Amino acid sequence: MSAALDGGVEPGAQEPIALDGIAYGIDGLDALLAVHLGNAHVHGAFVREGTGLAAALGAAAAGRADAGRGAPPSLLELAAALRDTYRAAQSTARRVALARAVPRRSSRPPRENTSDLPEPVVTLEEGGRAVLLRRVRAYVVACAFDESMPLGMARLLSARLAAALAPELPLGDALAHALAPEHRSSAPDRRASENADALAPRTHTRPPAAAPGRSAWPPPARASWVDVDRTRRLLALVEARSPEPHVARLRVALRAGLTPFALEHLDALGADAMLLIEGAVEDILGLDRAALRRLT
Amino acid sequence: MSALRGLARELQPHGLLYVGDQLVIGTAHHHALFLEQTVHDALGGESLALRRQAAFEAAHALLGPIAAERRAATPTEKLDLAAELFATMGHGHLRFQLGPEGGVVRAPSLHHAASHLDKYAGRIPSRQPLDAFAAGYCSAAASLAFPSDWGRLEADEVTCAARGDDACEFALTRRPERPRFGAVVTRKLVEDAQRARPEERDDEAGDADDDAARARRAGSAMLGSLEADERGLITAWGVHVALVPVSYAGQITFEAMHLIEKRSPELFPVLEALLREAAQTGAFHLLGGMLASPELATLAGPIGKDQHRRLQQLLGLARALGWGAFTAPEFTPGRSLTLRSPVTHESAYHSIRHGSTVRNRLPFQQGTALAIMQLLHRIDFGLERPIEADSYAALFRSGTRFHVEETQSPLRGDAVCEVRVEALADRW
Repeated sequence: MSAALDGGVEPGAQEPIALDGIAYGIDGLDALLAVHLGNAHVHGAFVREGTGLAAALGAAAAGRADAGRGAPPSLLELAAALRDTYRAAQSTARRVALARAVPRRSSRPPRENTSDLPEPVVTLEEGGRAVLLRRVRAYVVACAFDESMPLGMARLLSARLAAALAPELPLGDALAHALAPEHRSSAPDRRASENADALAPRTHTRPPAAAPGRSAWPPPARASWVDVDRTRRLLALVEARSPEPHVARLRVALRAGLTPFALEHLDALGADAMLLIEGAVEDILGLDRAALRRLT
Repeated sequence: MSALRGLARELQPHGLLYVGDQLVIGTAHHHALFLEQTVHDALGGESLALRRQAAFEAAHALLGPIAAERRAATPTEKLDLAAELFATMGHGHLRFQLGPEGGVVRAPSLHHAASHLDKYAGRIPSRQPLDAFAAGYCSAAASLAFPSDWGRLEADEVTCAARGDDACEFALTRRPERPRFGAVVTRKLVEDAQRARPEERDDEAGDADDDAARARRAGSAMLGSLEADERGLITAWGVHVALVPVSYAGQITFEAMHLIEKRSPELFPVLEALLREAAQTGAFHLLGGMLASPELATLAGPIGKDQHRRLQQLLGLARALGWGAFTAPEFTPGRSLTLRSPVTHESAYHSIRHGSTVRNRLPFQQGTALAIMQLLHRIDFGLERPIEADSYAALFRSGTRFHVEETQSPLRGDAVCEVRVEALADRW
């Protein structure tokens, strides 16, 4: 997205610091980038030799002005795209969280304080490769893994890399504009949107995983009892309405990426898992979120 | 429109079916819908690419040799042949409006979309296009009709009847990537593999006259007489029947298994249970519908009042549908059933395409065995309509009553495919 670059990298911005020490010894890690959420400046970078990004990193480090003109995309273009992706997902996750915080049939406006809202982790899968985006203060840490890395291990490693990188990142204020969603929904055509969804690489937006048996770092926000209670009603609804009620929970488990054991212990799940379950129930029953909320 | 008799042939004594040189199985729409739904549950948006690629490969392997055999040379001849074959197999009428640069394919009724509408009657609207098999088939047919070194014609389903559109429509455009093909599972490969193990031949002789053999012959005649209606769909015995390439069913099943095993192994038992469920619901409706049909009574005698005889009839019908030369070396009414076959369509596919494995890879056979136990113990075939719309759901209102286990598999080095179903003691 060019907009990111237009307002993006400040003249004279420092070249990326090398993150080879943090990335050392992790097989399957193609790249590790720390990108500023405000101006998409690449604060630190590691790119494995032999990947297409290696040349771009070299050009960026050398300060060549033509670094972004060739194909594949330059490091700056990639950083801006990753920043934009994360901000769009962040905006959506916050809208969802805000909407869920308002009790049903309440005229109370949504809360304004966003500081206690969860920060999403964005997973982008493409051709067997995975890129995970996590926020660390005013930066998004992007970890790109090759096809050999199982997704669960990629999640674990990205959490550890972000934790290891956190002390290295500047302690500047988290940018206000990074918190304010700028990607407004424009109510796209339903069919075009669904076709695009079906054809696009599978992308999950979820806060850190919290299901029992899954690695979770940092510890996820525990779901409120209101959320747990509503999720129980959702599971009851899907069992009542599904054409195959005896396997409805299995379908929810598979779609949500949670084990059946986790569905039996909703109290132990995080708020992110509740979102995943709700999404699974929507898909199974073919209902949109508003219709589902009317029913539960 | 020709009947299936002129298209599908039996590969005896293995209890398999083939069209051209490709293995196929006869299935009900319950199986098709649930299988695709399960793959979608497991892989999300990725599943569309997997299903289309699987359909492309299967259709390419099916259509290429048949077009050569029937000397279809021009694009029009090839597309007409593809449309005829698709409808004869029960998947619907395709109307190609294509040129070398692409075009559209319209289909008022397709097996998956029409079955979804029939089964769920609008209660569960589909949120995405359902006809990935048809999309891959159209892509293969168009790419064979208009071959090019500059890639293949890819089909995207832009409207789908299951989503409320008037008809299903596919837009075909040429994409620069070269087609990818895996190993093709042909009849000859299966025969050669089985010929290497003559001691494991099925014991049903061609002229045997037991209940299973009579039911198989009757089932074959019933299947052969099926003819698609004006929509290109085959409706019989309370279900929509279609011939599905084993390569397609096998590829989407096992690729989904492999991906979930690699990415989320904790969810693999869930996927396995749902794949088994797909086979169980399909086998229950199709075998049950055939067993209760007047045609079977005419051709093979009345339904057995004795469970052992009914079991043999069900095994014969499964053979006629191309599921394998099933036998039941052990059956204790109310307690257990062992279902065995030297080779099944899924074991043949997996051994040729993926080789040996120590893991369970016979979900279709497991589901079939469960369905047979349900039909033997939970359905009263003395009623005028033993299987109603809600009969299947009613089976599980008090929980699952059977447990199934894969006890032998040639993929693990055993001589036969064998699963064993046992009744759960606390549910009887």
